[in-house]
Amino acid sequence: MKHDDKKSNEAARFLDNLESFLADNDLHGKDLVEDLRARGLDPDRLAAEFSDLLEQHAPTWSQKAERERRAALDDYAAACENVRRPRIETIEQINLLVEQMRQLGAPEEAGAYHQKFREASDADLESLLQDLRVQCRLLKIQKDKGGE
Amino acid sequence: MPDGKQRAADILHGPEGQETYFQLVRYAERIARIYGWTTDAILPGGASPKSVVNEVLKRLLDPNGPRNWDEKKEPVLLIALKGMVRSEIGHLYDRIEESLIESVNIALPDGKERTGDFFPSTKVHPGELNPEQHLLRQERTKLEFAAMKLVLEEVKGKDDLELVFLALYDTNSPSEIGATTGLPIERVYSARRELDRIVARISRARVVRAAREEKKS
Repeated sequence: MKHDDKKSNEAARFLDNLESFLADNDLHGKDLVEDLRARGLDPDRLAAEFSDLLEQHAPTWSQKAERERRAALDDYAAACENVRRPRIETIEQINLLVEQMRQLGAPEEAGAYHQKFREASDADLESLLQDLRVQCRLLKIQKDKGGE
Repeated sequence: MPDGKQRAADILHGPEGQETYFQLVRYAERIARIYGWTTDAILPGGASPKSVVNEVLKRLLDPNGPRNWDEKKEPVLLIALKGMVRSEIGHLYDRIEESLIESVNIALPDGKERTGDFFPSTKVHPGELNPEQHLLRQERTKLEFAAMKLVLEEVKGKDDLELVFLALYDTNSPSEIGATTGLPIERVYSARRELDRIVARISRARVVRAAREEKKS
């Protein structure tokens, strides 16, 4: 073995062993918190991020229930809004959603919104608006996932 | 949700969850630091030790995520997670090395692209390093050696640390280090805590500077 190779192997092996040796040096409680601070990390911020991460990716049943409750409230608020909305406003919102979906990369489809809404009843338009809201929400979720 | 994922979620939601997360971030910080010493590079793609930990947890906790925890293979969640974090950071640094090698793939004036594989020595001896890889290996060796020397400088004059330092050439096991050096295990652990603090003090810039000075001399 050449001198340089031997030197290289020794240093690489030393660093590997050092890393493994330190791997189990886990601190606890206050020592751990102090150590994180010494490394320039803010334990309070870390704790908040961890909590958010769990809520988003492994919610407990109560967190899931709270999420569903909020979604139901949103749907209810939207439904109340529909009752009072004039036809022209519904059409504007449909156009807005179609544009948003296009920007999110949705393929253009031949659908009710290409009929310029002349033949659609108010109820049809409301139903189309609800469908588009759901589709747009799904598209946003897909896009967020794709961007991660 | 598969069992391993659910079990991991239950533990992370439990009373030791936050401490496990803190320990994991601390571990990732150390691993990234040591990789940084030997590659003279920070984690690519804007990643940080903490973001790597978060990514590993997302992949484990998401029902469709590619990571899982096999409790039969590794019963301690923290150890399993450390393995995942180490592998993730290793992949990120491998990508840096690959990109450095790929940068030679350019079209020459004759219009043909050439990589390190073009050079005859690697064609005749496929196991050998091509010139790009050889250069990288040399740089890495210098950095590894400089890092090791910096640790040595820090432990000089501290008897227990010097003994542990020497034993680390051959083993990483605390009990074996105790047996080799004759130090009681508590003193090996105490030396380990001190060594950890030393490692946290040695920055990548310091290692690079030391490697350059070594080159000059």
